[in-house]
Amino acid sequence: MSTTLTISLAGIIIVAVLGFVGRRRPTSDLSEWTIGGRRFGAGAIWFLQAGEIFTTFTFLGMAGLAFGHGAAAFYALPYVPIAFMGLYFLGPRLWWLSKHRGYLTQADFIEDVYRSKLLGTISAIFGVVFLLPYLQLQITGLGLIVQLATGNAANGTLSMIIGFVLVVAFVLWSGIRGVVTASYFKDVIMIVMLLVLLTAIPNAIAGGISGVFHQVLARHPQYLELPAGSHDVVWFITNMAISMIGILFLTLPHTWPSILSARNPTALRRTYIFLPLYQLALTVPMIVGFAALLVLPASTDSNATLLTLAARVLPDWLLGLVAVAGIATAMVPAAGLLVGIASLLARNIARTSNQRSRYWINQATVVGATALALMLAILRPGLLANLLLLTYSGLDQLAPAIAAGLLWRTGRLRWWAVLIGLLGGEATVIYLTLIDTTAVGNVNVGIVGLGMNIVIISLLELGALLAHAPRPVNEPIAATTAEQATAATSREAL
Amino acid sequence: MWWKWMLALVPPVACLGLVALPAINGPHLWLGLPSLLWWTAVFGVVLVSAVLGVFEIVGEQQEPGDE
Repeated sequence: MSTTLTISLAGIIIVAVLGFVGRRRPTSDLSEWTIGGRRFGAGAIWFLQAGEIFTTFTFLGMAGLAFGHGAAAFYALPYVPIAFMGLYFLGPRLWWLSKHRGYLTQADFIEDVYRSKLLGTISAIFGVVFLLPYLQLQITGLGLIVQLATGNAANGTLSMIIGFVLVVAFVLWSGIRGVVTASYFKDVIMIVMLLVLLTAIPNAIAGGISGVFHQVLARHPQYLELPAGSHDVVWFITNMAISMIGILFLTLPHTWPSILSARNPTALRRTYIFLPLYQLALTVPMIVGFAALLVLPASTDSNATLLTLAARVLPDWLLGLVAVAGIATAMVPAAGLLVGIASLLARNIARTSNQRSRYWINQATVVGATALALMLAILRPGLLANLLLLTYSGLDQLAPAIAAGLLWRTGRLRWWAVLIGLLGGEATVIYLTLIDTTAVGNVNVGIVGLGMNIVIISLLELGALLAHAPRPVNEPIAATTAEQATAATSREAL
Repeated sequence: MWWKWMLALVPPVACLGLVALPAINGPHLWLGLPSLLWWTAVFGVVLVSAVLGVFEIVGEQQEPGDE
């Protein structure tokens, strides 16, 4: 067994062990498992949210995007921080509502605000369907990292299986607490390895970072500005905007536990002040991508850029540690995704009132979702590719529902208008992504879908207003957990 | 209150509205790094932390449940 493979497998085991130590005793309380009983301080929240930002896509994909499209990759720098500026205000509000209304999931919030189980269920179904390919992406990314680092495809498959069996095991045991403890290791090793890459690769290729860009300016100046083709200014701005909207309005359901698990709003606000600076770490894979322009042939697989260069300039043991950092960026976000998917299915889709049944549905979902994503990653890696294209733009169609709920609470929009708008937005996104792919040029299809979504909601609300239709209020949603039951007693005071 | 909104608007306007300007989006290096990288990193990342730090110091964000 090679040094790189040995270190990679050891890294997988370390991440899993840290995931297990997140909890000392098992719990059957879904609130404790999903959001840690709302007891996390600023440090834990910081690592949880950092864990969601830096995935295999950012580790491998950013270098590839810079290698393939140059300055277009810089779109990824500002959207998270700018969204955090809004979340600095909205996050504490959501936390406060969630604490008093007993929300554990995104669909809990939508269901409660619009008093519609149907809307809650449909938003949860969209959440599960669109997050599944994102989970598969993490599995495929882990396999790719080991394959590229060791030069053997069989090692990649073996690592995917070992890595994700262990992820399932620690998520079942620890829930979100395991995600937090594994995040500590992930972020530390990732920052250290990024510093190694930032020092070693530019120095070996062009005598330093500045040398890389001076050579790119001399040989490929077009890569230093937004290109005229598929990744032009319109692509840059609309991609930044749709990503920003997604983060700001928390359209990705697996991002909710990291907010709801905060001990208090102060912990959230402090996280949002300092976490934007973490985004600067993204510049390292980007710089590596620019360095690759100087030495790798244009035909190189863009996802392989970072590890191909690392293999050229680093000794095997250090390459193994870089692989471990990459592996951690797959395992930790995947664990967070599993917590998000399982809680949605157990609470908002399966809908059993029996606490024990709900717990077992939750645990079975963790196993089933991973098994499905793992099988597809190994046997049919391209099957969910189209669905992955829809993950961000599709989930962003929940933004109007969440934004109106956060800004106005209940009673302003009718649930059926929001539902029809959501379906209209999703249909637009699916049509433009899979059927007529050139209709809107380089404009992000999620933006177009969002426009359609908002127009539909506005027209339906206007029509209802002109028809003097009463705002429909369904029967109050029954408290379904011990926490909600407790919270319900305090609702009258709100 | 208006000054807070004005301050909060600087990063998104700079990043979404001004990146297309030739002075920023061009084959230029500022201190050895691409001009667009500087622009997005300073206005889209560093300034956000600075602005939020100011908001926190001003201290008008206290919510129920705060320590």
